Amino acid sequence: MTTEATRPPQQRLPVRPRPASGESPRSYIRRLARANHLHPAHLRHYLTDPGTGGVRLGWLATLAGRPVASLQHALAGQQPPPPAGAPPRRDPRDRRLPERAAPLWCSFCTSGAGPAVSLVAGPGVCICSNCVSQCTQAIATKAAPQIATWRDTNPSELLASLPRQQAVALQLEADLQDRVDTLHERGVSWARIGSVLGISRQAAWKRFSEEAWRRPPSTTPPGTHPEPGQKN
Amino acid sequence: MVNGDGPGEGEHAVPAGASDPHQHLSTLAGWRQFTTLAAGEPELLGADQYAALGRDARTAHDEERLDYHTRLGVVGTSVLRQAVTTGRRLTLLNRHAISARRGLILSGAAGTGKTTAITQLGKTHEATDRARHPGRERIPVIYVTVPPAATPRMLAMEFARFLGLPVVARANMTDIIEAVCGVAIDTSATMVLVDEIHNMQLATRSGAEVSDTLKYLSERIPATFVYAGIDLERQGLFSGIRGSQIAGRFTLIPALPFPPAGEWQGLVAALEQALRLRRHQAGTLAGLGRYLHQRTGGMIGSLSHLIRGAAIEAIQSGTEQVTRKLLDTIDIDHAAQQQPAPREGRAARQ
Repeated sequence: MTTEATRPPQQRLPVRPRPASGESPRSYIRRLARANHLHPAHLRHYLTDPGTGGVRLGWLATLAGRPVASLQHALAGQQPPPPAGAPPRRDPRDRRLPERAAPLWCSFCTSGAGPAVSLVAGPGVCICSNCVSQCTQAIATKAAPQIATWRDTNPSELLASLPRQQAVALQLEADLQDRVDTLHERGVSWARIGSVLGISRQAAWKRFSEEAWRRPPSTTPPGTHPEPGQKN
Repeated sequence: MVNGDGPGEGEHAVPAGASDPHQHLSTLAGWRQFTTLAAGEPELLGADQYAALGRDARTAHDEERLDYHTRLGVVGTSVLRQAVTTGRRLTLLNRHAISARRGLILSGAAGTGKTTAITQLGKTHEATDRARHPGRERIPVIYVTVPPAATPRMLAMEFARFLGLPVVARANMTDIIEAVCGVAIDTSATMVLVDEIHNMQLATRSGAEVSDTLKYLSERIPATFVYAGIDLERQGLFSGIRGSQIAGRFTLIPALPFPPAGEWQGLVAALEQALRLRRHQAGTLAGLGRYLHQRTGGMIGSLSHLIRGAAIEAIQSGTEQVTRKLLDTIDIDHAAQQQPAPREGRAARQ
């Protein structure tokens, strides 16, 4: 069975959603798996290169039926050129990962990384060096100014910032989903996950569970409470 | 019922013109290629025109004709017509059936054209579906073959392979079936063709499990199931509890060898008309109908093989005609060789 897992795909998947701009590979693989009624974890494992631990982009491109270049363009975390001056090897615990940070944008001012600006990634959010220095100043002077305001920008600039703002929201959403996935894999019940989020067990299951996506809507009659984690 | 590009018995044939060796009929890409393939006919040049061609042009022309003769068109036999009309009627009848959908079984000896009949049925259905729903991502037809000594997992993997779903080592049987059914429903699959069904032996435990898996798939996927295999009624497909359920739901179309009179002559004439040889005298093969029947035992598959083989030989040797003498030199399959056939150019004894 090990040969099965390591064999490259011969065909594209029958249902192929488009990658959203700025989406993380993990999120795209999850959507791809759900559209084809596969376990996201299985597909993720299949597409993970055991040598590097990264996503095999060529395989993903075959399955998605898209050229590698267009996937690289669309998916965050797969931009090939790391920022200049970045050390070649990094500690995995280091959050300033160049390959992740490159297509990300500062959660404060939505500016991207460049030669003069570097980004630091936090849990689902990022901050750029300019915003950090503004923050440092603000804390030092105790003036508490608001940084990266957008209300006085002109409409075209505001419009241009929308996709980035959406990408920032997607990053957060993916981070939240990853955390819930991890918790669920570690055996934490939907009831506990729901209670800390202030929603019911049912709502938590519906929002985060793979099974809720896999279950066709017609088979869940209104008023019934499916057992969380139960397969259809 | 002759097609060089249909799969033979017990093998995955590569569709003609396939550039990628992975494009079998039992994958979606290969099937798509088969259903959209429109074979062109090469022009037949006169002797003067042929002589006027340069060396390269002549080679190219011969090559084109060789390619054409390796996959002569499909001849509409009665079994093919019956399978297509019954199959289309059943898909309409099953459209609103909630359960206990009716199916179709083609059973007969090897070389009687069962596979060609069901692939043509699938091709017709796919063309109808595409005309009704243009521009939509749909997979109306699923084509799988039952692997030898099949287990339920192997069968489920055949379905997954057709659809292009990667089967990872972690996935269990339920995962594969869920994915197959989910995708089949999402993409509106309405016909499932299962070939080589004789590989499923109901008398063995794994065979019975494969039968149950097929039954389960047919309950989950709202499609018309069409089975084809060798001598199914004699292999006990209809015996026992499982067998009686199959017998109660499926229409059986027997694919038999053709008798020497009647339709056989028409098939020989249709194949002869399809030949593109410069010096072939029309009516030669029609006159040899009885001889051809004795050589092939009335099997359409063997007949097609014999005539195509002779045509290719005629192009390569430059004689450009199919004669009785040439046909004598072409070896055909073992089953047909067992017939008390005339050999070495001697007159037929019967």
